[in-house]
Amino acid sequence: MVWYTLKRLGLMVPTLLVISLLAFSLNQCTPGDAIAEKIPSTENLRDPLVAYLTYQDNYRRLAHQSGMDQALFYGSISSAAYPDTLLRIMPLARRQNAERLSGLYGNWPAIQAYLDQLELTIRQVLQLKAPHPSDPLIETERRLQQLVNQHDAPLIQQHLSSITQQLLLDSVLQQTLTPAVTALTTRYQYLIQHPLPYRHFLPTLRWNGTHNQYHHWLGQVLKGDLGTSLVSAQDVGEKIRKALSWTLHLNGMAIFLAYLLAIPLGVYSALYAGSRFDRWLSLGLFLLFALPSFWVATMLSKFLTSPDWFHLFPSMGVGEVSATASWWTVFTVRFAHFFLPIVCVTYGALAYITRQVRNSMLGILQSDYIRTARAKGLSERQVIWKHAFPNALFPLITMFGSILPAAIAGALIVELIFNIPGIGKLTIDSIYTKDWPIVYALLLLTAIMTVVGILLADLLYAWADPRVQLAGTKTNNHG
Amino acid sequence: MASQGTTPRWAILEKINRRRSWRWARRSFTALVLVAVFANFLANNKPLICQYQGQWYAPAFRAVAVDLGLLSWPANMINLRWEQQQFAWVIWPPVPYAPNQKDIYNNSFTSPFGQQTVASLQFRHWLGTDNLGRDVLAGLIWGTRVALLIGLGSMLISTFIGLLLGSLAGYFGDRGLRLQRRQWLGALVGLAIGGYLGFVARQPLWDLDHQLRYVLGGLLLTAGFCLGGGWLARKIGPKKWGQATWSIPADTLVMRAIETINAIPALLLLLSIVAIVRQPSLLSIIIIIGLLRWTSIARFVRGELLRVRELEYIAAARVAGFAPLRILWHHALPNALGPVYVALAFGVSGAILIEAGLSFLGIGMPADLMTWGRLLSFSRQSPAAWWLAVFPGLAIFVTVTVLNILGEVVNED
Repeated sequence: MVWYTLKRLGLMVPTLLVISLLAFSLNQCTPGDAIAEKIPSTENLRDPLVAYLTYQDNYRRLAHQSGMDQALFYGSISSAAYPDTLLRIMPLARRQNAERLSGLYGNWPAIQAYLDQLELTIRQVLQLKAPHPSDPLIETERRLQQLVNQHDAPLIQQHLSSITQQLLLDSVLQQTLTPAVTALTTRYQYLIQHPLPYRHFLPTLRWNGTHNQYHHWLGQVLKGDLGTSLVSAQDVGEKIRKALSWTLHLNGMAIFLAYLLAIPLGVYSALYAGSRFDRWLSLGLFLLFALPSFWVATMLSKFLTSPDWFHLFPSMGVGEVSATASWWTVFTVRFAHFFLPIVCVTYGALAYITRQVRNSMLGILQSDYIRTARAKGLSERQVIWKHAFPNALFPLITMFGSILPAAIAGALIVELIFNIPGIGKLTIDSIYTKDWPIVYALLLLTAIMTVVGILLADLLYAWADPRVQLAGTKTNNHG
Repeated sequence: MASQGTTPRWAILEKINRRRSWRWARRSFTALVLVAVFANFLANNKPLICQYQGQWYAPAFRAVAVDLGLLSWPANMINLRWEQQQFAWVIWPPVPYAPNQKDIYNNSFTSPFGQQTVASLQFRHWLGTDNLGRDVLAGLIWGTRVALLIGLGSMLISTFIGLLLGSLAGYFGDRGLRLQRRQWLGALVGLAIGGYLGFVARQPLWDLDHQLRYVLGGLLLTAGFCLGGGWLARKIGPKKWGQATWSIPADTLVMRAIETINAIPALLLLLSIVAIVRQPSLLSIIIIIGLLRWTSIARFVRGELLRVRELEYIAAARVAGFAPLRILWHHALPNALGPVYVALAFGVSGAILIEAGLSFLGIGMPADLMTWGRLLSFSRQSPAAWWLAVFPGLAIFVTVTVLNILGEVVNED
């Protein structure tokens, strides 16, 4: 048993690693700039140049704190078109633009010369802004700011020529900015005339050591720190813990109910296989299985909770109860709010479990030792409840490992419809508000829960049925 | 040789006719497919045939040709609002509304049984409208197309992956898939080169938001170079050292992959992938669902092949000296397809449920696409609008049931 447990634990590690890699890399693909949203505003600073430089400093500091200037992974492979200094370019939008330019032209020295000149020109314009805020200057600044995020050649040309024209409108601008703008234009022309496309075919390998974003993230996760929410700046772990308790209540009740109903139903329909009861039950379960839970939830919440139809249940949420209320009040309030969601989650699991119980019981009833038990004269009741039934329950143990996560995923939309603040609603709300740390922490967490659930179920099964340990690999087949 | 006539492939089609409920399921499925295919002519705001300003037109048909790039509209018809024109003679489609067309006279949730401001009975909204006056029946008809496209399209991908990996795992097991040492080496070198060319050198495509092209082309390049490398090495590789064989633990690898994918709650994984696609399209949804849901098919194929490969006729074929891939493809796989039909039917219905869920949430689906799930989600805006809750849900339920019945056919005798 110890050896079997160790083996199963060992098999779990690569699965969890792959899942962590998946959650991490999905998180990297998310759009938006988390740091730009956290940065304190610098608009109150009077001098535009100082404001600009302060913003960049703040950004750099925050980015360093969050590890954005580190490599993503232990090692990396990229084409020689991309410079290894890309990670030091901030803010994120600029880095992405430098990346796109590198992808288009591959000539990093020329790109760098152009981008440096662009930065220099912006600073000159900002320096001039306080003493000389003319319309052409404002327009020039706007165009330059757009150049920062632009990679498309025709658009860049358009901005550059328009800036040159703006300079002609204002003599002060013409005197101070002409050299910078001319240099900018020449450097850009040089860049697009000297692309190095072959550099895409030169691989460069880099070893980043443990000083990388994945390593730090994994370390944090293992310590139980899942990051902070982008929207509310709350601790993600704390938010998830609250939500998880509601979800476990909902799904725990639903699965308990499902087992409670499914076991007698399944056993009886197996005992009277082929009878009218069995056939109608099969048909009913078959239809239940095809019934989308979010439709049922929509219908129930529409027709049973609104004053337009039948106002039998309170409409939304989990209900308000004061801390001093008696347990009976708490129970009735919660019961009223949870009744419909539990129905929606239960029926799907019920259909599935009943079928499993029926099939497993049918198989057992046809086995040799049941015939022996009958032959030696035991009463039918003893045969069924003492010999067949306990053995028919074994597969239910393994099933539990996969039912809970399935139920949690199934309850996603049900929670949203009934406004229960569980992890389903949290996930969907986080996707709506683009609060990615929560989304991927939830993904990771539910995956870990599933893996652990399956492991526990397998161990329990192996303990109940020692044959499993002999042919250990067989247990991998469910799921 | 296994005789073709008795393979489950054909037996299944004969079996469907055996029970009344199965025949009905088959007919309903055919009807759904027909609705999906001919949606343009069943619900459209363009007439089928009309006489307009003294000339004959078939606008609904012409619109299809224009969409396919075969024809273009005459200059005076590019932005013509057909529903507001006077015709000397006209045949409208059965539902004279397009799915996203807003009927301003019947907006803010017009009930099917209520007072409607329509020209004639033909223009009645038989299943009501939503808050902007979009016809529910037209949405249902066009939604059929989306549902079936996603269900069948994604399962096409899943079946391909599932059959490939499942048969490698089941037929060859951990020891059966032996490759020459030089093939191994060639395939690995090919994998490295293909992976580099496919994913690293083509990175600009990803950065410039051609994500779909990047991923698909990358996969193709990688697979092509890997297979090509193996083939080339077998042709020209060193003989003496290279001909010793190593086996691939195909079964273990595939089963580990299946376990890992199954460890993540499917809807959650799908949501978190779909949510970050920058320009969601029908194709991207189909591909993502297809790439995530091959596991049940692979498991069924594997389980079935584990049984089939021990049968005597396979041993006979081996002794007769047929190539392993030929035995697998021609002899073993046709006998292992029975359970695949079950997984396929349930897979299609599962994918349709997922599509409905995604569009109910409005996550990852193109914003202008009318689907059953989206119609259902409109019902949450108005507690009184029962028709928005009942009809789209019923469409999903009936479709899923029909597909599940078709899946059950194989299981029962």
